[in-house]
Amino acid sequence: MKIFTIPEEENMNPGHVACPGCASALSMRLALKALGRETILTVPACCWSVIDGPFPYSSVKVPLSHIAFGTAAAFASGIRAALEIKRKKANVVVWCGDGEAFDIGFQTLSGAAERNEDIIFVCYDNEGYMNTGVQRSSATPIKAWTTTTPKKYPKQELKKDLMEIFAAHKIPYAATATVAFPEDMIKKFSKAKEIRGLKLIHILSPCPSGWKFPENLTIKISRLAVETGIFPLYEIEYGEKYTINHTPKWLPVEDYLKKQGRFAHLTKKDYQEKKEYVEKKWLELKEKSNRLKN
Amino acid sequence: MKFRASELPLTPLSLKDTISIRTGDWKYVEPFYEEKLSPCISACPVGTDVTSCIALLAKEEFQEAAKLWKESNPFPGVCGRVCPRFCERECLRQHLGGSITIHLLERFIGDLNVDIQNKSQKTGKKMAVIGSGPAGLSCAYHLSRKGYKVTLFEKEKLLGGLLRAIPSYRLPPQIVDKEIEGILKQGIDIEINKESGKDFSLEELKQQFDAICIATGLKERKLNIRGTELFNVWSGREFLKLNNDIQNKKITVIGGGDTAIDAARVALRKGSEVFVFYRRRREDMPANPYEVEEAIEEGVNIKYLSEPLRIEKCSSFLRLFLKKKADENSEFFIDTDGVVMAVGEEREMLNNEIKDTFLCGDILTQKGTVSHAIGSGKETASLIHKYFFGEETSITLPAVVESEDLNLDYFKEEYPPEEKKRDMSQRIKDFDEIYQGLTREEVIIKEATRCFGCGKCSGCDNCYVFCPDAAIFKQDGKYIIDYDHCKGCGICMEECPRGVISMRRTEK
Repeated sequence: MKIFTIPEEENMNPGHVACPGCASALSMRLALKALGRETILTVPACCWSVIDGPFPYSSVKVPLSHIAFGTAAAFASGIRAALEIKRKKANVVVWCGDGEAFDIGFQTLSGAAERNEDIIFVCYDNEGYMNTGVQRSSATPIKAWTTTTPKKYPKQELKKDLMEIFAAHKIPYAATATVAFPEDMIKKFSKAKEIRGLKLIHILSPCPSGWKFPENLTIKISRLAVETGIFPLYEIEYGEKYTINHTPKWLPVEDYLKKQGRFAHLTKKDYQEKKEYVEKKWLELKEKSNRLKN
Repeated sequence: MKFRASELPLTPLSLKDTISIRTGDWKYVEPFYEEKLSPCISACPVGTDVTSCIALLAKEEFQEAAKLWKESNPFPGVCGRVCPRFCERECLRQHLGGSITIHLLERFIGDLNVDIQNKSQKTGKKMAVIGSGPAGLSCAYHLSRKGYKVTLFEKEKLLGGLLRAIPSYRLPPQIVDKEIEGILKQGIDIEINKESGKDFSLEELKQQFDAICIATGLKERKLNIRGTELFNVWSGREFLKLNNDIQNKKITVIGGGDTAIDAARVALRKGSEVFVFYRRRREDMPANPYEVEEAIEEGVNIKYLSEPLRIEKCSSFLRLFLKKKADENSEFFIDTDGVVMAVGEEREMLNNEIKDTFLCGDILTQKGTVSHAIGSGKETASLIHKYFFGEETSITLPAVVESEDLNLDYFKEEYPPEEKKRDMSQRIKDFDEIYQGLTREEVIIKEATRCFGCGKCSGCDNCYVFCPDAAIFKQDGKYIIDYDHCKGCGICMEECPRGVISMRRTEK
C-alpha cells in the first residue's frame, strides 16, 4: 500500500556531497523527477554549489551552471533567450537558497519577474546562510538563533514574506512546497512546467546542522512546519487567485519549535507570540483564498 | 560577430557523475531492514501470526486468512469468544483510537468454517494423547500435522474437556463441535470413555505407542471447611454440568475466578437469586473484568473481602457462615438453597517416571486459560518432534515493535466498530450467545484496515521516497540499500510507519 506515488525516473545520482539528512538534496531529487531530463539548472552560490559535487563531478543528470552570487535570474534569462534563438525547448530552472532569493539575488529576480521571463525560480529556503556557517538572512524567522544572532540577542525581525512580494509582481505562478509532502511538491513542479512566464517555488528545506536537530528528523520537522500552520502549503496565480493545498492539523507550534536547537532559548511568551502570528497569517491567507471564490 | 570555439575562454566542465564518490564512508550507523514481531503476536500464548492474517482479511482473502490462522490455532471460533485477549492489551492501536478488536476478527475467521488439509509426510511414529481438552486436542492436531499417528483418550463421552464446561451464552456448543470435527479430520483416532489409571495404565499404553502426552489438566481445589460434603453443595464444574431446574432458589457462589462468575451467571439464567463471595477485592479477581461487569449488570450480587468459615444444614436450607477478611469478630451468615465452591484448581501428583512421556496444558503450565492450553499443546508437539527427529531448532525470535518504533503521523485516529450485544432483559432469560460478532463489511472496511501491521513491510515506499541520497532502490518488489552512498541519516528509519527499519553501527 503506497502512501505517496512519485515518478520512478531518477535524474540524480547518489554520491552528491550534501550533509546527511539534507532536505535540499531530497528536494532536488523530487523536483528533477517532475521536471525530467529536458531541464537546464542554474545554481548561484549556495549549498547546492557544494552538494552537486567537486570538479570534475556532477550529481545531476542534466546541465547545471555554477554562477556568481546575485546573478541567477539574469543568467537564466540569458539561457532562455539563447534557447529561443536556437528554437530549442527546455525547462530553465534557477535552483538557489534563500540568500539568493531573499537577499543578494533579489534585484535580478525582481527584474526577471517584471519582464516575466519564462523560467522556474526555485528557492530552497533553509532560513539562513548555512553553507558559510549559519549566518542570519532575511529568511531567518524571528527569535531564531544563528551565529550572527546569538542566543542573547536572537533575531528581532520577522521573516521576509517572499510569496507576497512576488504576488505583488503578478507573476503567473507562485507556490510553497516542502519535502514532507512529496506528491504535492511534484504536482507543483509539473504544473509550473506547463506555465509560461516566471514561476516561483518556495521550498521549506529543514537543515539538520543549521537548525540543530538530529538528521533523521528532517521529514518530521518539515511535516510539523505544515501541520502547525507555520509554513502553509498554497499557490498564487497571477497574484490574485490563492489556493490552499493542505489544511493544517493545528498541532501546537511548540511541537515544531522545541525540536530545534535554534529555538531552544524561546520562552512561553515567545511560543504564544508565534502562535498568534501564525493564526493571524493563516486568517489573512484564508481571506485571500476566499476572495476569488465569491 | 562570430567566434570560433578555440577563441572562447576556457570553461571548466564537469562531465563525470558522482557515483564514484563513496559518500557511504562518512557514516558510523547504517539502516537495515528487519521485520519485527508485532506486540500482539508476542503476547499471544499460541503465537498466531495475527498481523499477517489481518492483512489477508483486509484484502478480502478470507479463506487464506483462515488457513493461516488454523496453521497455529485450530480453535479460532472458541478463542475468539473466550480468550482473555492478551493481544489486545498490547496492541499499539490503543494510542490512536483503541486496540484492534482482534477477538472479533478471530471469531469471524472461526465462523467461516474453513477446513485445512493435512499434507504431512507420515513419520511412522505412534502417539497417545491422554485428555481431550484444548491442550490435548491442540497437541494431537499439531502432532498429526507433523505426520504422527495420534490416538486421543478421553474419559468422558464427549471430546472437549473443559471447553464443555463453558456456558453456552459465552460459547455455543456447536462451535466446539465444529472445531473438534475439523481437528479430527487431520486423521486422529479417538477412544472415548477411557480413563487413565482405570481403563488402562500408562505402562500398557507405552507398549503400544512410541510416546505418550498427558494433558489431563488440573483438578478442582477443595475448600478445607466444614460442610462441603452436604447435599446441594457443589464444586464449580459439578454445578456447570448440572441439568436440573433451580428456579426461585437462592444460590451462593464462593470464588472470584472465571468458573465462579460462570456459575453465578448460569444460576441467574436458571431463575435464581445469586450471591458471590470473594475473599479479596474486585481488582484482584482473576475473572475477566468485562465479565464481572456484565454479571453485576445482570443482577449478580458480589461481596468482596469475605472468607467462608463453614456450612451448616438447617431444616430446608443451608446456612453459610462467613467473616470479613482480617477481622476475627465479624462472623455473619447467609441462608441459601445451594452453595457453589469455585475456588480454583490445583495440580494432581503425577507418577511421571515412565520414559517418553510428555506433559502439556494446565498440568504443565497452570495458566488456566484456553489459549495457554492451546499454546502449550502446540509447543509440546514441537518438543516431541524435536525429541524424535532433532528438527525445529528454536530460532531466536526477532525484536518486538515498540510504540516509538512506529511513525503515527501516517495513521489516522480511527475507532473500532461496536459489537452487537443482546439486550440485558433478553439475555438473562435464556442461554443464547450474548455477543453477535461483526458483519463481513465491518470486518473488512472498519477493523482489518485499521491494523497498523506493526513490524511488517507493506511496501509503502516511504524509505524510497524520502531518501535524500537516492541510495534506496527497488528491485523485484524489495527495497535495497546502496551502502556505498547511504550516509546513515536515518530518515528511512524515522519515516517507516511500521518500524521495519533499524539502525546498527557500521563495521569499519
